[in-house]
Amino acid sequence: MLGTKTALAWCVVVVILCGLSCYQIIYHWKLQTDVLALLPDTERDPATAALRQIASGNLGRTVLFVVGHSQESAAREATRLLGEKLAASPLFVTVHWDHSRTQQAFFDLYFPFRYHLLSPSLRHDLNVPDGHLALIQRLKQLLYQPTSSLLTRFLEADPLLFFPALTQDWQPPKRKLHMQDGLLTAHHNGRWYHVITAQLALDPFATATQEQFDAQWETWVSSLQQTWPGIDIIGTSAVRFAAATQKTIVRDIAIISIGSLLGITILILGTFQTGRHLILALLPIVIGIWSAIGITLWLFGDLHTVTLTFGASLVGICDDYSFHYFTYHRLTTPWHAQRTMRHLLLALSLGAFTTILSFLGLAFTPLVGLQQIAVFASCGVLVAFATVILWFPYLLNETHPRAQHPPALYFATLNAFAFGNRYRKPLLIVYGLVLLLCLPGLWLLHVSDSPRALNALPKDLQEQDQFIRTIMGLSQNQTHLIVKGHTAEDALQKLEQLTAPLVDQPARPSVELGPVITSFLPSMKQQKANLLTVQRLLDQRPFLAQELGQLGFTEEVIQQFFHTIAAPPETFLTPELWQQHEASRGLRHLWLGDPSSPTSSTSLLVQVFHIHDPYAFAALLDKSEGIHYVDPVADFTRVFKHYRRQAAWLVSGAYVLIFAILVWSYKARSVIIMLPPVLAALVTISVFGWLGHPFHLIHLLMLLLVLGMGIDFTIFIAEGSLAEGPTTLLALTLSALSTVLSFGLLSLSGQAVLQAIGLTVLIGIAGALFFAPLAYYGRSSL
Amino acid sequence: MKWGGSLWLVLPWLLIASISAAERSATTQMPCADWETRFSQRLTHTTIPEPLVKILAGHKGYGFATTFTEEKRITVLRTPLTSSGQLVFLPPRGLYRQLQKPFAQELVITPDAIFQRQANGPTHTLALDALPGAKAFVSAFLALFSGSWDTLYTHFDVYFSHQEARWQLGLKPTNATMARSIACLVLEGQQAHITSLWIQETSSDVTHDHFLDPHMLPEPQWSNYQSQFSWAR
Repeated sequence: MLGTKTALAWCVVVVILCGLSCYQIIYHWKLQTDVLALLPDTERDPATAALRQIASGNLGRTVLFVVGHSQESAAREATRLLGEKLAASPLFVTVHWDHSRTQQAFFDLYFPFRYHLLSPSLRHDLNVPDGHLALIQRLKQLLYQPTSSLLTRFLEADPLLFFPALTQDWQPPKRKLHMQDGLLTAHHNGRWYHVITAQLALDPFATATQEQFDAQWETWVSSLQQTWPGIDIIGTSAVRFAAATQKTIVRDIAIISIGSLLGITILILGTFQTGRHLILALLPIVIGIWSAIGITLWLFGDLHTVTLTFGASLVGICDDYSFHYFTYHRLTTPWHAQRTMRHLLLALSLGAFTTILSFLGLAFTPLVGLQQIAVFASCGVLVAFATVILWFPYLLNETHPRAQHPPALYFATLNAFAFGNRYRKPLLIVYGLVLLLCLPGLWLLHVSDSPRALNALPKDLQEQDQFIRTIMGLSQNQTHLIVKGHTAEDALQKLEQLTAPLVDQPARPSVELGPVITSFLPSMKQQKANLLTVQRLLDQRPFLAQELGQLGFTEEVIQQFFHTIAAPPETFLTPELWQQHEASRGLRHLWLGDPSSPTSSTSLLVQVFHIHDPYAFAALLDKSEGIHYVDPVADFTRVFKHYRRQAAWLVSGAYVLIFAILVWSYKARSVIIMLPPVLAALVTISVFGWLGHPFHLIHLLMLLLVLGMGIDFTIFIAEGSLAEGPTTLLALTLSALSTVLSFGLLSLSGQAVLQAIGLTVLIGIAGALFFAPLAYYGRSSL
Repeated sequence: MKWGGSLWLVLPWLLIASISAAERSATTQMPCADWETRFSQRLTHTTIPEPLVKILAGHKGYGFATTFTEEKRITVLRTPLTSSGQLVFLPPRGLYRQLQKPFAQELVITPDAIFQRQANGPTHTLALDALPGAKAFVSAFLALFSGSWDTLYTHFDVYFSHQEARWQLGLKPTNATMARSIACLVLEGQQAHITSLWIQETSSDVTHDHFLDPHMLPEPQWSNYQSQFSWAR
């Protein structure tokens, strides 16, 4: 199998693979940063997809700024200046800080429709037999109040004050902001804060946008802080989170790549002491990772950032095969390149096979992100392995110049080997004690399925986001209702049916909702019903005319009122009109669909702030058609729990499968060969228990890698003769050190998923190396 | 991140914005008229006349109670709205206003909310955080009775004139939100007592409260009036 022809054939394959990678990277490079892309396609239901669309669409482009100062005037002036700077920046398509015009826009849009959009309380009054009496009573109460001046200007066109009642009902129950001098203002902890909202002109997930935004952000902040010392400028947006994630990824890749390569360089130069070994060690790593990028892009169409960062840690696995060969080369004299490779081939092949098998195990999970990592790593390992076994006998065919002088690390392993041989029983006791120590850790283990465990957004940005939400009184809740209709009118009617029972019980609602679009845009059916309800007042015309007259209304005003409500409506508030009007600007994101096409299917969003009565809420949903309740955290938790259970079977199955293969090859010795990786997995789980670190699906799946790499160690020990013990142990130590280094660096990653992978494999591999000498037991002597 | 609803938060201020949507002319007796001739100069910390110092000192730390009659002239209405009732001001609690005619109505106005009930019916609460116009109005209203120069000066440009025992305190709002609805306030009094209050709004509506039996309430007497505030919470 090993020969010149196969080496040349591998040359051709490598050229093809590298060519494919170049082609894919040049023409099809696409980096995926969406965490939801890690989920399987089947879990991305239309409702979640709608929310994703919002997140990456309008809201993804929304940027919120809060400017705060202890002096009101400073906060106001700084807000205006920042607003002007933002408006002048090409980064934003719209910037809003002055809302004085917006208020007028609401009046312009809604006042003509004051009888089309009835306040629920007024509608209730109008629908009871003596409702007209209640209306007059309410009017008197309002007029005799000290604050009546806020209402009296509406009287001429709206003598029963329908419009103020409507605006009163629009008030959200919990408000933090108020309007002051046209600015959205909050007074919080003795400081004045104003809000600016802006829409990005560019894609928030594009690197160029993020860099531009970051650069300008620093300029704005420093400029304002110079003018107004002590000013707070806080911003939150998808672009800042995406930029921070991008920076973290770049930093992670740099740290892991440079750290791993540096560590490997030191190990190689310290142990093998020639530049040739260093260059040769890099060869399979570079070819392996480069090919893996191309194949992954070809198969998946994109490359997830998690995969790419994981790829950097592949350095620590791809060099294992080189290390084994190099170790023999370093210590053997005379050197027989082909013979040594043939000698090592079975152990190297079994090692690569089990590693690839453990990675492929990940490919059978439904999580797309892990499938990609599995394919990426399997390809990388396979290519690196083939490069080592097919090329190295030709590239390293001379005896090492210092073969007679073993390196210091060799003597260390020799001593360790002798130590193990001499203290065989005490070593078993140490192993036993370690395992005993692990038992409480298993008991203390806390299993978590929450997606929050994978949340790795920068803390300072999360705090700023939280602060802005506090200032603005926005809910932290990400739960939504999605109301789907065949047409816009259908969706609006369904939403009205859903919210009607809540409106009827305003004091004790089963659920607290965010803004409901039908409060601002009722269905056509509701608008017609409202107008008919108002027209019922014509039946009480003499009474109302008398009462209004007694209050001092002129005959002209009274007659105009009756004329207005009696006249057939000239127009209705349509979705198209509403969407086009400035007044709908802050609510348009609740409308998913094309408002200009009344017959196209439409979905409406309602944020759910709090569920007071889950049973009543569930009953409400049961009664309603076309309503989807979306709770992303609960949904993801459910999905992760389901997959964790599946993964538990998968991991157990993999351990059993590897054991079966070992039984086939090694018979009774298979138990002792299998024991170290099993114990390493137990130790890993136990350490998480001791640390109080939640054990997640990702940690569980990484036990496959602990198995794959851990079993390599024991197979090499099992395959090596006892005389080769120190040589094998040196190669294993080098492999383990490079793997521990790579995954140790991965555990420092800012990405929670990679951190979980790194930490699990780091502990697991350290454990596997610690228990590996157990594989010598069962032989005549260590 | 769900921020798109932020504009939803601005809706209640529509009332304030809408005020500027309709302008009308003044037709009746205006307390803000002839301001320059009635009040010689705007007062500052250093130019407070001695009689005003005495009046303020006489009110500071005291409560205030009176019966009142009110005439409210709203420009769109041909006839004024007249009413009568009782007013109680306790510095820590706010203002209690009981309307007895033409119908029974109770109001408690605090810096944060207006509480209202009809003939011992359910209490309706209007949180003022949501309504800066109303909040400014209430702040000014409460400042009037506080007897504190600093409080008055925070909210108003202050003017004062007196002729023997009779005096007039003229106030023009400095806060832009308040100034959009209130043109001026004039408090009239004799010796240490406030006898009437005029409020002219920018819409030209005028309210005139005539205090019939004003008397100061020293702190020991406040407990007698606590029940009038107790329902408002």
